[in-house]
Amino acid sequence: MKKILIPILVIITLIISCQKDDICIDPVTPNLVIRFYDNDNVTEYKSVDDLYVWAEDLDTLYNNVTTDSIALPLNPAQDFTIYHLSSGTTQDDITINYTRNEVFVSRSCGYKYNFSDLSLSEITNNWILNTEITNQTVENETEHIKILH
Amino acid sequence: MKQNILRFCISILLIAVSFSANAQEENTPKDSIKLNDKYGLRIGADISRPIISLFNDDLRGFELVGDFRMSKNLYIATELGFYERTSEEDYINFKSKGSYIKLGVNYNLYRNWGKMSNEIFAGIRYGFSTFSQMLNTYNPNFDGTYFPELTVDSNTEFSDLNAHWAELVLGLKVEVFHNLYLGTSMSLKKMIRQKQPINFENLYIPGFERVYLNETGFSFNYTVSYLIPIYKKGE
Repeated sequence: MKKILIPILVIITLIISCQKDDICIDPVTPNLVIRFYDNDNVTEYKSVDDLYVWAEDLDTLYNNVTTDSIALPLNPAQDFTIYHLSSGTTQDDITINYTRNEVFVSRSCGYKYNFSDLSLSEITNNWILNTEITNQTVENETEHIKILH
Repeated sequence: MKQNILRFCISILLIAVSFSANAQEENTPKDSIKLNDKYGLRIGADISRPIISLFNDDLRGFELVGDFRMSKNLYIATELGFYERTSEEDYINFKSKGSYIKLGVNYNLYRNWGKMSNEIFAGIRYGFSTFSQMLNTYNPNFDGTYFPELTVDSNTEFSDLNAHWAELVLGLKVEVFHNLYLGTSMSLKKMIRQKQPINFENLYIPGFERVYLNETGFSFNYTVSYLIPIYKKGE
């Protein structure tokens, strides 16, 4: 019995001692997704040319792209984020307001934020003609806001 | 991780020391005294936790152990203790605090020579713990570094938690002086039932220790214990 037990003890100890570190693979805080639509035909996507996007006081997030969809991170430190969207040299500003809800994910991922009560304020209308909130809660990265231009 | 390596080294050392001692004694002729088997109550304490507490402020705890010999190879065994530990993960910092009790039996697999009374044992336990978890801080986890990382002081207490689990124990006990034993054991655990907090998880449970994925756990202990002999029996 002793002869079998010692190798078992040693092997179990080895396996246990070399536990792999946990890596966070679950989805964490989602981004806000804005899709651009044609103001003349509100069901049609319409790309924005020469799009620049940046949050107040921060670097550009999108730099001269042509797209009909953008994903913006929301500032986790406060209940609003001001974004500047510029099409070519025409600039518009929007303020996104929200409520942050902490949601536990796992040991390795910790907490993420989901956002609810999404609203927009202080929208300028230089190239943006209209906005609409399609989903008030940001829990995954599908369309939350429509921008018509 | 460091702690596990340390524990691993100490267990290997203990195993090695105990068997070199046994090997020597096996050469001596068999004792002729017949009343060899000591029966009684053995009580002791874990020595690793108080020592680790000295060097690590994040950890505080003790464990008392006891067993009672029922027959030649069967012992009723128990452990009870208190544990408080602050854990630092990538995105959270939390403290677990509580007490636990384990009850079960050990079966001695080692055949002693003469007057020796050492043990290599396998055992099973039922474990129960009541505890609380305190979420000290968390860093909301988001992809990218567009917004600077943020630490939120949460200080949320999740109290009134409990856990039930089963354990498989392997260990050894060596009589180093008359009636004084050094022992070590490791136990593998599997959760039976637990009361989880809302919007958090039982990540570290006193007695169960770190809760791994699929609700398993393991722990070690190193004990010094004293046998209060009650009576002796022959082979």
